[in-house]
Amino acid sequence: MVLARIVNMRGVDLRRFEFDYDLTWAGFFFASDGTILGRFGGRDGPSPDKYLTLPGLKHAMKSAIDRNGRPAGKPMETALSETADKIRHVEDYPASRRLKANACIHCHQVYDFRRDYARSKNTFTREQIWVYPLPENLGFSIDPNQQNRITSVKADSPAAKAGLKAADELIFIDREHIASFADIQHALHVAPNEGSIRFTWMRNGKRNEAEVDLPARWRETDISWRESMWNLEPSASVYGKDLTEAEKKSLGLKATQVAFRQGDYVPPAAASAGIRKGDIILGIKGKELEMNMLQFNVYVRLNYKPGEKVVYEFLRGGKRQEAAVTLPKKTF
Amino acid sequence: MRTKLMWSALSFLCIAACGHADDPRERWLDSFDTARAEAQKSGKPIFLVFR
Repeated sequence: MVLARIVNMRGVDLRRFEFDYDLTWAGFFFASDGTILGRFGGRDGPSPDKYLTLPGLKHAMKSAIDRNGRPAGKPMETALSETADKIRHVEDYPASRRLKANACIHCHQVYDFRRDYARSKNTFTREQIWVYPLPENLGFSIDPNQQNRITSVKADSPAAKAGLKAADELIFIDREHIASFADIQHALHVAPNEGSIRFTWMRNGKRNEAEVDLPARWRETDISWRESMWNLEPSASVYGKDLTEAEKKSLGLKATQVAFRQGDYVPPAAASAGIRKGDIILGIKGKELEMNMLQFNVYVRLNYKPGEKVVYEFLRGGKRQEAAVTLPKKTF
Repeated sequence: MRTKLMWSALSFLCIAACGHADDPRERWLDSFDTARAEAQKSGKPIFLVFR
């Protein structure tokens, strides 16, 4: 196998390398003519490493090696699909010019610059946020050590209704061959927002096929772990370390409610409303929000608009106070 | 730590797959084009990592 590692997105052809750009590690298997044989990597919200297992990698790698049948000397060019916005390299996005010349471009910046570009063209839609859905969105879970094997299927889920069961081994989702969690996520990423998608799997030596329904909003997941989340607007303009359960208890707060200590830097929108470093942010007046700081930042981004005024509640010196924050608008 | 473990594992796997005893980390190419040229000569598949 020929090995390569890329540590900078500058110069990378986005038509060939479409992957979840919020990941800190993502792998591709290619045939010697450039055809993608498979992917490896991927993650869910709580666990960055859950699917980065050696047995999982071995299984995916073996599948790619078995499926590579190209002899030496075969001409190399696989037709590439154009990107949705026709931009082929990250450095071609106008927003990338904010970086110093030749500065390293991080993977997540592809999403940042792409969304800034879409906003500048008034083509940005919320659906563009929901990238690389999880198999759990359709009701099934995967074995981290053999990532085409289903470990459980939720009752009444789209997967259950299609007839999938624990121990089934996926072969294809639509036309995408499945050997890893990353393959599954990519197949779901390119699936339509509604309708259905065909699954093919093996059970007890027999091949099965069925359409899995795609219900409304099926793509939505917890995006609080994503670096690119911070680029969405409007910014909540508050952030910091979550209080521990013990700290919440000592303040008479529920263990699950949002409560975090504002960090050293207070963004202008919050500072001008009176928020200071060290204030304990309790969320939005009138709303019971059970979430952590990151999820709170997502909540504001998804439920409010730039320019909207939101009243935050906070504790300072043991006293509960309020601050009316005008959520900021980005300029391009 | 996670990255170190992954590199160690990948090194092991690649030694097993490629049959070479030298440190495979020295054989990680740094561009797809270079990897493609080598793969085209040898017929071998490519494993490319973004990190």
